[in-house]
Amino acid sequence: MRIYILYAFGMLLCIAGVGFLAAEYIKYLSELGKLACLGLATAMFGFLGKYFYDRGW
Amino acid sequence: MTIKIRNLYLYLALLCFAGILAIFVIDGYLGIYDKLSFIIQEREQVIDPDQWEQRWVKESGYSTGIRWGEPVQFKYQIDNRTFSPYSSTVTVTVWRGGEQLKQLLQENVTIPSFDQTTLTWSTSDKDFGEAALKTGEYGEYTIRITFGDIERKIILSYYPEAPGYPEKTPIPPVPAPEVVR
Repeated sequence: MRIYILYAFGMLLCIAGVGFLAAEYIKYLSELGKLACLGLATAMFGFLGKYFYDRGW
Repeated sequence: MTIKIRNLYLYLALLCFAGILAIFVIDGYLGIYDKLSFIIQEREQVIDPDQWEQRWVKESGYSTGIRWGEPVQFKYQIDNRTFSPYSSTVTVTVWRGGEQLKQLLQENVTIPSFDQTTLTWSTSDKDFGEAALKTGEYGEYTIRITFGDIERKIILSYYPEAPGYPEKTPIPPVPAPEVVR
């Protein structure tokens, strides 16, 4: 049980780090670039969801 | 006939992630970028494109101190990292208290695709139309650079040259107190 708490903590830190970097980088993007990033991010999470669904999670 | 690729959705997700990273790099590189550099008291100060994006520089302008009477040479570099030529009029003016004092430069520039141009100008206390500053007095002037939709502000805080230390003078001899008997 304790190890899962550590995993969750690690994943949260990773997500927070990636989110912070994305928020910093996105300031320098054009409006079209932001839109494309949003589309790709949505697709990425969709594909990841489908992948885990197929694996039976 | 269908080909079933194992972990297809995982690869697609990774492809999307790679696409996001590629957009960050390519879109971050493309655009119109400007860099300003000037020398004050033998020290070169450079304001990079990233620095213009800082919130306090964007809102209030880049601020620096300078001794009254010292001329400043500015070098302004505009970098066109787009697929089409960029044309605009670059205007540099001096302002104080919301009033324009002088126009230092007005030039039409046309920069070919993925090329850059450099503009130079100088300013001195004569451009401000004021007499010399007194000790303890400060004069703040704004240099505005405008081209296209972009406006940059540099605030020059002038201070008078500090007087040197007074020369040492010999201390007059103190007369010995008279002894009353």
